[in-house]
Amino acid sequence: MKANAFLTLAALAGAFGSAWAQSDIVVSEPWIREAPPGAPALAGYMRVENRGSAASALSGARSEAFGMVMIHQSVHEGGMARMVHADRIDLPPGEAVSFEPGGYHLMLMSPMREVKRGDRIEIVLEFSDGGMRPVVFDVRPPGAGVRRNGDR
Amino acid sequence: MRIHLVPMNRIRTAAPAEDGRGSRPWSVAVALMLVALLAGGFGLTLTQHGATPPADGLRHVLWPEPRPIPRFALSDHTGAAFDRSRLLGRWTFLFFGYTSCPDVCPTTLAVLADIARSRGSLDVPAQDVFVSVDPERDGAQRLGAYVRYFREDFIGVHGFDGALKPLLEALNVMVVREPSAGGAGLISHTSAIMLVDPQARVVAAFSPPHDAGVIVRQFAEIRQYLKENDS
Repeated sequence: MKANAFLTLAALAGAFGSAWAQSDIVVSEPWIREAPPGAPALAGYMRVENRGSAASALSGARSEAFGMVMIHQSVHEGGMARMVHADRIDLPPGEAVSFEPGGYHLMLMSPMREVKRGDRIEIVLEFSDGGMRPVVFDVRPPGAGVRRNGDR
Repeated sequence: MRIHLVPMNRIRTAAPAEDGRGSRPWSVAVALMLVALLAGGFGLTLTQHGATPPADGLRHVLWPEPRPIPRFALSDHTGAAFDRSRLLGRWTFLFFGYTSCPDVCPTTLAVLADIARSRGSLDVPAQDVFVSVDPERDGAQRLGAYVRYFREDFIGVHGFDGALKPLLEALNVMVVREPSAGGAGLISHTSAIMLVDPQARVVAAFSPPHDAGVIVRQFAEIRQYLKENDS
């Protein structure tokens, strides 16, 4: 019910051309890696492309399925993996940013319930101009992002 | 708060393989041409009686020379002792991480599961060991559920700081607890997959980004290389 009401609201807002309509921002391949039972944090991945002519930036994300969502980047430096928090990800016109294993990811903390492969979970992306975009992420098994001879 | 830190200049595993390849495109091209010529001339004998220097890609992966791992005393997720003897007589793929790690650790364990599946067809005894750098949170039960989720035969290993130290030092593994980001309790850690030979010597380190197909191939090349060059 809640989700339906939200989508209706989003559709209405889109119809009025308000800040809800982030139509120049294209989000593709959104997925969450299924985690072992009890894992306190998961990761979400996607590709975000700005097809518009104005600069934009991803400034945050939230979801009713998680206690907190943060934009993070895994950085490999001096042989170590380190997690860096990003306040915003700039999206210049015509450019795309990939969130993928070992790089940028949405850190999904404190899942409200167990997240299982096949689930579809909505995460609302927040943009620097106040725009918001609900995106449905597919939950996939952990091997989904593994590189094999250059391919994922 | 740092629980253990090895000076940066001792890190042998720092350079990602891609950097090396990227900085010497010509040498790679020449090497590939040579390989192609040799393969054409000698056929399969190339892989059976290879030249002494390691293949170009391997130089970024092999340790300068195999380094014996000293004695250590840890526990596995079943509560059994996990010490140096558990490394003898089989190859070990070792990775250091923690179960609260949202991106790098599950990514790497999924790669290890993929490699283990590919290894299934080989007649080479091998095991996969995930060493927790977060013993306070990673108790045996949690560690066991975590590693077995990726593959039933994965082994989770833990031990408190003092017990972990000999292994961390022998493998130049760094562990740094980061200031809390929203209470996440993040830990920075060495991200390479280490390869230990059946004599309990660390012989190679695979730096990210990890490619399961590449590591499976390099595992075969390393075994061949050591067979020919190890005294």
